[in-house]
Amino acid sequence: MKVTRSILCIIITVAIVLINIDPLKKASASDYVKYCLPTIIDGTDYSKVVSDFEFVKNGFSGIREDENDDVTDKKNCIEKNSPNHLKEPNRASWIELSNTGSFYYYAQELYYSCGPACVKMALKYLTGTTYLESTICAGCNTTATNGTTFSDMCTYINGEQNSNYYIKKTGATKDTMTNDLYNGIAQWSAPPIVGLQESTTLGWPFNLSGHGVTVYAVKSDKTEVMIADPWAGYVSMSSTNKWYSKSVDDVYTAYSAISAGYMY
Amino acid sequence: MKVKLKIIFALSMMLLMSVSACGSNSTTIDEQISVLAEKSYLNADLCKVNLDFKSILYYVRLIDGNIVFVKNKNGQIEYINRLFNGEQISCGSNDRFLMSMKQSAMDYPYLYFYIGEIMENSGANTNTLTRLNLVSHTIDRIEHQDNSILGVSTYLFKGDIVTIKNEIIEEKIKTYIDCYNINNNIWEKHLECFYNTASEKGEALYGICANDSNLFVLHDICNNREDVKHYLEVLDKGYNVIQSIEIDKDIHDYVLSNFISDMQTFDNYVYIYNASNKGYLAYVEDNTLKEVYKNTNFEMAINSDSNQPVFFIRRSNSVLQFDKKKEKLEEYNLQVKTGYNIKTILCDQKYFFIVFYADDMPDYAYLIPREDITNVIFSCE
Repeated sequence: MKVTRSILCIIITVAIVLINIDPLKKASASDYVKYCLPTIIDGTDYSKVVSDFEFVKNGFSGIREDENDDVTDKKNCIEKNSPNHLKEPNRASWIELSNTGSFYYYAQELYYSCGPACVKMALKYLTGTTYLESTICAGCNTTATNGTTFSDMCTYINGEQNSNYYIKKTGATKDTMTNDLYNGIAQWSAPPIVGLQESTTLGWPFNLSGHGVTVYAVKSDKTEVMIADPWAGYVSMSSTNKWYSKSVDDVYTAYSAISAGYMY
Repeated sequence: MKVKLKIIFALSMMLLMSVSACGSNSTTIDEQISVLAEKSYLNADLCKVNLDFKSILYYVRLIDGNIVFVKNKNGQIEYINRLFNGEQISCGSNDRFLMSMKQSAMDYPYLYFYIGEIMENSGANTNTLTRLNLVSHTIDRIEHQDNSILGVSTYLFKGDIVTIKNEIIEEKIKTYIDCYNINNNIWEKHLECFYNTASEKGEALYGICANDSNLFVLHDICNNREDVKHYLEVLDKGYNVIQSIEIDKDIHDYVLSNFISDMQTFDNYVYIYNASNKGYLAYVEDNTLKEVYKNTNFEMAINSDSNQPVFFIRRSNSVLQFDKKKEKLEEYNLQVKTGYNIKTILCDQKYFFIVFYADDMPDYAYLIPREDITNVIFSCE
């Protein structure tokens, strides 16, 4: 009797081990049911998404590499650089903006206005006001040939609201960027904006040089962020979404490919 | 008693010696690389490809060991063909470039791809079908006017360059399969669908891929925002829908709820990849999609030989080759220096072109014969 029981135990153990070591094991449906991505409302007025008739010679989608360093923003760096001591849950979950229902997606209306579209999303969330993209373009010195710099975006957004003082960082390490994006959402509840280069070689949907996206949620273990990509709405009105998740690794690689910076 | 103690002591000593011996043999992967690199019959360093990686926006194709890629130097987009012998030839530049997608279509000696760019005279945005001649190393545009929204992929189907285009007509979005017949220089539209943005009713196409026999198209039918049915349509060479497969909620939630960045097919298999980096492989059988594999960063290599499909998990060292006889994926791990992972893989009939990356470190790339892929140590130095 004991021998039979032992043999049964061994068989069951071996079976369990074999099942678990199959490297190509299919994920069950429940594996991704729990992967609930935070969704947002598309506030884009698509009648305003138009082809522009100015001519540009620098193939880019709107973010220019910033020649200014971060000096203008350093007065507030001490407060912003405080280490994050927020308690993280054991199991990674999405941390959203404190009032995430008020975060609206806006597509860029011009091929070079990704920066102002990101600012529009942030301002709508922080102030509740729906700014005209053209107003933000003017405020951020956006042009068809030069796009927008993060210095100009910071100056403009800080002049328009008092909820969060945005600072710009270029050349940040991955740890610094990760913590800043996390704190931007979890601590200051203000959508960070990241300048990056999208490349299909790195798993991005488009090949775009010099682009800006808005972050509106972050995983509690800091491995992933949710991105609202203003270009996705510019080129697509189909039922597929214009917001998606990205690993922080991928965001950092795309961020380090150009020297545009990020603001949070 | 004394004998027992002696035996225990002797056994303990043997155990200690074996443990310490094991410890001295447990080398790191970097140490193994330096040792095995000498022993390996294929010297990976000889296969190293030197490129100005920082300036590369994306890789387009690997064709007979030649690498076609796109450079972005200070906003100037340039197409380069890096020949097997290491020579780099510029195929032209584009100062009107706005964007492009992943897929291109090969009809030797031409490589076709769409580019979102600014029109020279009016300054409006347009999708331009562009043709790169791999022999003369020249690039030209195939002129065709439409009002399609930027960002379309490019596939070859029975001598046609096919894609899905979107156009906005007042409150309606029109989507259709756009075909350019290479031989006859004729443009045709198929499977036109209309979606009304005000009533949120209608139909839309949003993903396409082609193999030698069939075209696969993702197709949504919307009664209202909450009532949307998702289909994978299979089309024959006459662009007739011969099969309409309803996609279940699980597949939709995993891969179709995001922007579709890539779609490819081989035989009866369909691969879909979305903007959240979810990759999904399934085969079509009995009017359903049967899941084969899915994972984050599960990517299908850009491949000039559709008979030998290759997959990889980006940011890992895992390569998955599809064994057609066994009808399953065979996975193996590349031996790579610690910290480095696969950035991308392109392949043709004979070679793999593999780029490795690590945070804040330079990229390394190798051009390896297909049969040697498991016998190489990638030192990345």
